[in-house]
Amino acid sequence: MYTTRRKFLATLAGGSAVISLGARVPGFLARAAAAESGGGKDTILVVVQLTGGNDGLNTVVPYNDDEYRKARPKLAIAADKVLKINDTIGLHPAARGFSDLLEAGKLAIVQGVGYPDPNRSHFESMDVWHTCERKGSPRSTGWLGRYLDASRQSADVDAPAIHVGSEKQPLALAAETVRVPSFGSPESFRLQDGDNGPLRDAIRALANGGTAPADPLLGYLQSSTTSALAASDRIAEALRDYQTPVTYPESALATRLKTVAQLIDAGLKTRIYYVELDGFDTHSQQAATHAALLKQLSGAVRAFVDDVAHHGYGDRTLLMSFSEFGRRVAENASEGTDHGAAAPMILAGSSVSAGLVGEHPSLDELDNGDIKFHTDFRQVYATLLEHWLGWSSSSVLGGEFKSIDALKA
Amino acid sequence: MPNIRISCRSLVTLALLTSTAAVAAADERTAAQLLPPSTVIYAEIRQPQDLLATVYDHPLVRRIEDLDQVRLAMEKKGYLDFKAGVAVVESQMGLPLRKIVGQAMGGGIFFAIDAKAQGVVVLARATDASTQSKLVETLVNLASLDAKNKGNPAPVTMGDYRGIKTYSADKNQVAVMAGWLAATNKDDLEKQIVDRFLDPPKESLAEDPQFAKAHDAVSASTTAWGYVNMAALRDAGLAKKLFAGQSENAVAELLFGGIVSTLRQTPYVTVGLDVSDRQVRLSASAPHDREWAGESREYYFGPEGLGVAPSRLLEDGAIVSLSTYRDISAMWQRAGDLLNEQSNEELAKADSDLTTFFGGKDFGEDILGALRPEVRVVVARQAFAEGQSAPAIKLPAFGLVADLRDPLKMQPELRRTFQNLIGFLNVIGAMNGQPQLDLDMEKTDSAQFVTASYLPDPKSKDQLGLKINYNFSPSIAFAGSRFVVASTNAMAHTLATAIATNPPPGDAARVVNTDAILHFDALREILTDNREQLVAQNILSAGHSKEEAQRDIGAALDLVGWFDHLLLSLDTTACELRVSFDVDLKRAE
Amino acid sequence: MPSALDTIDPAWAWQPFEPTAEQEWNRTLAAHLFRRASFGATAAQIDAAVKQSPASVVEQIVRGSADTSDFRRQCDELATTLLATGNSQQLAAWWVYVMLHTANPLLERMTLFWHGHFATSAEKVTDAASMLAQNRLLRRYALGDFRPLVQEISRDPAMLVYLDSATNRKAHPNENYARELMELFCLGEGNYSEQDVQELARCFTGWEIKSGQFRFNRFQHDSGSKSVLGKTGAFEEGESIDWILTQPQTALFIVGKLYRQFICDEPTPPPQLLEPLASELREHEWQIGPVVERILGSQLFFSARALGRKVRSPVDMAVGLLRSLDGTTDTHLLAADLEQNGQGLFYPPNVKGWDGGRAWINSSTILGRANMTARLVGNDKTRFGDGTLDEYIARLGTGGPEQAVDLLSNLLLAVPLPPPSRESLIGICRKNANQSRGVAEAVHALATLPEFQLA
Repeated sequence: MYTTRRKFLATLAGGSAVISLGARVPGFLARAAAAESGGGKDTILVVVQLTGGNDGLNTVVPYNDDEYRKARPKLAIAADKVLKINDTIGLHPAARGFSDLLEAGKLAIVQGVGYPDPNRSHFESMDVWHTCERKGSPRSTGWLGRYLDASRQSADVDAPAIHVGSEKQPLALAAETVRVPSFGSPESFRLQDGDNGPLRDAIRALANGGTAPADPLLGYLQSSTTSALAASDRIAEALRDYQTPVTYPESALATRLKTVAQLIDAGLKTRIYYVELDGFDTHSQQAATHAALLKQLSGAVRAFVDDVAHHGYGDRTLLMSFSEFGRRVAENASEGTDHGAAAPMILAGSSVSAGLVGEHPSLDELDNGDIKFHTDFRQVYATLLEHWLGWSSSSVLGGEFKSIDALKA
Repeated sequence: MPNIRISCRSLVTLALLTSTAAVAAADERTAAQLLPPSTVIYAEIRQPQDLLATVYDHPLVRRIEDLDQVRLAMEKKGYLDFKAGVAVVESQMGLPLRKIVGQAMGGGIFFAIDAKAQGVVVLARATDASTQSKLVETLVNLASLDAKNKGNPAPVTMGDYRGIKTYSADKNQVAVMAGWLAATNKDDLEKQIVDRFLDPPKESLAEDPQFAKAHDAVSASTTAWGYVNMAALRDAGLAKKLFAGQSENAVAELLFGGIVSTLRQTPYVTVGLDVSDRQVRLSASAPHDREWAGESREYYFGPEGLGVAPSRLLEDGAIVSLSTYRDISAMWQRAGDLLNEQSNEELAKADSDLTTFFGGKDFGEDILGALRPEVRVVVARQAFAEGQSAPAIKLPAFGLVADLRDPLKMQPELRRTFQNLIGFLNVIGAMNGQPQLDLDMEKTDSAQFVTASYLPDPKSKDQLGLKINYNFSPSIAFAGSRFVVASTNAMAHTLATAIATNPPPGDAARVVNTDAILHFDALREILTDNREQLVAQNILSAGHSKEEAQRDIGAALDLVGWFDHLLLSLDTTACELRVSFDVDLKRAE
Repeated sequence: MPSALDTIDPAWAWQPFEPTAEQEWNRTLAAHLFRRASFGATAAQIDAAVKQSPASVVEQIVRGSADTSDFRRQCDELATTLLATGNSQQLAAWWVYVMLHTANPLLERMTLFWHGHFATSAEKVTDAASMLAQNRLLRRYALGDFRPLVQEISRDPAMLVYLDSATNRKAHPNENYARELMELFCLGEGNYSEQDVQELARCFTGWEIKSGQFRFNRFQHDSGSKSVLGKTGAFEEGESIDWILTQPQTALFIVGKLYRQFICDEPTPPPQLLEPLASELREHEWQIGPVVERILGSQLFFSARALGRKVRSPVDMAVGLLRSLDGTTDTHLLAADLEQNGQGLFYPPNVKGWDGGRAWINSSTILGRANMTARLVGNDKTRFGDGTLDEYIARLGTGGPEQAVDLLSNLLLAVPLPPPSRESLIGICRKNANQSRGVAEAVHALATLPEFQLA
């Protein structure tokens, strides 16, 4: 009953208003859908971008498949090494963090994700994943950016999304009006008061003091300042006092995800966090590199999921990781793999419907040597928008995409 | 009048002599005799007034003081306050600063860290005990006065321990004992030192045979000398990271791995500093055993520790010329033993990327492994011919020379690899709008070259200057078994024809592992080539006007010009490892 | 506060400002003029301005200081030298340097205005030389004729690379530039049809960028008849641009942006309020300078509807602070800070440029802006009148902390400082005075005030 009503509203919000591509959903419908949808108002999505093209076939391994062994004489993971999920599929032995999460019921693996007529250029394919648009169409905004633009409430002062990293900001976050801050460390989210106690107090008193001005512009600035300082103090406090029994591995990704956990704990109203891990372009000598990357990725994700759960945000936090493409099925002559197509996506958190989602794509039927997709990545986005963030997906994604069963009902 | 004056002076001299004599009679102990045997770090300046004189009167220091910026800085409030403070002390003492230092500390300044008490000691020995005690009193009085003016309580309390006057502020203690001044930050330690001073000689650092041996070897002319008891440091669990099993940084391992292996086992390290008008020499040595490096660091010192750096190439004209024994391929392949897990993972990633870059040739095994461990590197200014268009930023050329392990097999392999690499760079460059490299081959009587040079930029006609790329014409050369890889064609030629020499003749017992020289004149030339860039960057980063920036850069270039060269070397004998840096100044004009 | 702009009489609004007893020509109004037209002014410049008539001060600002040729040449040389690094971030530091030291700040402000209008980012146009060439183009016409500016920007390599229009073939006209020319550069949304975009795109076929230079490829040009905005013709060699410029909406669109730049962020002015300015622009043959002069000297500009009614851009905030206090600094650091706060010079966020107004503000930038000021004041490389801030203010002969805070608020604030805040600042100033950091700490604290965000 509940589900039906929710779906009805979501369809109404999306379908009726969106006949031509890109038109905006009337606000009241979208808000009605948001209020009704499974995702509450305060759910958080953490996106982990795996840059370079992760070898999906050696991440989620069809270890009994003869075709797999044939295509990968040197790089195939031995059946006795994989972390078995079932009789045919297992995880790379370095992805121990993922198998732990799977056991705890906090990991979903969406198999065979891609898009039609895949492009094998890093930049082009990454742009497709970021904007949901092909080359030739205007691509000034990303899917998350469009969501941010549409869902932004004028009263929000906390940044609606934060990019934790010092790389160029991903196109996925580019929006028409909303500006997403990027930072390498949470330090930059702190008011510098020279650790000078009296000055610090005076600044707080000054910025927060005074009666609400009559002028609306000044009033806006006053309230923005007050809440920014409050956020800064919460973050400073969260950083200083942050206690966690979880040991994060020593890696760049783990440090960034820990920062995200701290910001969540600081009570920011931010709903989207974005982090990146580079280095997946493994054209040669792949085995050691790929193992190290999967170890870093799965270890960091596991620590993060445990940490947010420990602090009581487990039900509100969902992590999604993706890569611009998978790699070719056959290994190359340098013990590496070249750019490919479809690959699995990982969702982690206590709200996922744990386990494998969809079939492992067949290695008998390839598309020009590449794995064929059966799930469009925009279906995964639609699932997250509709059922996690509580927003109509069709205007954001530029069309209707069927949700998949990757989240708990 | 003159008579009286003379007599006055002689009286003072007499007084000085007697007081010094009195001190000498009262105590002939050395600093080491006052320090506990658990001292782990010891340093001494035997003749502080000489050092002070060298520094004060050094031609370089006078030239630095003449610099506009330094003169301006000396007019700033902080420095003026300091000078005013010094003036007050001088007037209260009735002596100029240099005299005060000479008399209060002329017998030497000593610094020590004691592991047992976890404390720091500073000892100063006077040539005139009364000046020393007066100095202490003057400083204490000034501090009290200042505190009083600010309404704070007196910072120093006076006391007495076994008849010796002591002063304490917080945890810091100062004792004045007839010509010896002892300052520590631990009460216990202070008492121990006073006890050693008053009581008959007992166990002290001086009795430590290891220390005594090292200390006896110090030359009398050495300006400053230090001793570190490594065994005790290791036992105390200090510098844990250094003594831990594996390095966390591959570059640091490559540069210092061998030194670290010695530090992990050697009983002690000594450091000597010699300062003269023309030279500053810093050298550190430690007892060494060629076995210590072990198999995993054979890459560093060579089999049986006898790997020798070849003689340096291009002694003149180079900015830097370095020669070393280092088997990089062996290190790359031994990384599993040498580096920690995280850096091994990073190295694995780098290996994968480089292997891609080198067209599938395994970087550690095939590329690095082709070279013998005797490596020479030269960095030199490059000349751009008159009329030839030059890049706006002029980088030095650099090149590396090593022998091939198997020239017949490796020459064609490396040639192909180089050609692939240039092709790869061209593809990447074309995608980013960079100019293209043109491959060429060349043969001389003695060598064979594969060169690549940038095609002229179609846009170079405009006034905007050439891209930084035009500093490079990457080339390789084969001359007999010798392999050259260089950033420019000209450098490849120079290196291919530079005379091959055997290990430098000299002390057969000393095995030189690394030997490098930096010529400041050449450095100054390359900086001068880029003067306009340096000025521009200074304008932006210091917010200067053009004139101010030119003055700044001019002064920096002048400063570089005062130095002649820097020599760096790492060598071993069967029982010692030594690292030394020598900086030579130019003779003042 | 009045907000209904419909009630403003357009005839009154653009009349020359006449000081009255209620609205005196004083230090507050002079500071307002310099804050908007220049990047702030020093106490001495404000004092000198008060002694003249507002109209003559405006005239001097708009006509620019005559003797800037030496500085101009030096800056050009400096930029050329920096190009060798091939790095547009160097250019950003360079531009900050120019803004800080130029004797003709309105020219830089207008160049920045056009940079936001014809937004092009070095993020995509990686060639720094093209970015500099565009910057020079914008500066050349910043207060001059808008028509050749549009003609040249339509052939500008950086612009066409940025809009993916470096190739434009007859068989597949690229609509990108045609669309932006109408939507963002000349007419504004809603004043053209999709059909117009397609037809205009045909006019630009054969306009190409090869090796960083514009060239016309006649083999790829569609020389057939097109129909753009109700007129049919071949529209050769930029005639289509001339035609767009004759549209009544174009002048209105441009003066609307100038209004937002100089008068206030919000609300959007009604067309009848802009019409006198649009006529002025047309009458002056598209010369921007006279229109800017009219705006800056107008009744509306010096009225409560304009005073303190803009949110400071990061550039205004930082460059304004330094210029008001005769400051210099490490411009590399400052340029990086500007980018961090959303105004990377040569790096606008997208083809629409900077939104300005409230879009500058969020919880991250509020902190970032205060931190930027704190870093500026705390940095050793920042010198005020070649000394520390405290020394500089002391040299102005301000006397005690009260006078220092009053001077700072006149120089740095667009709206009055509330009395309790004034007291706090005086307290901070006094408390840190013996470390000679009283004024510096007061400015640090001042930068966190909501009032400081207004221009």
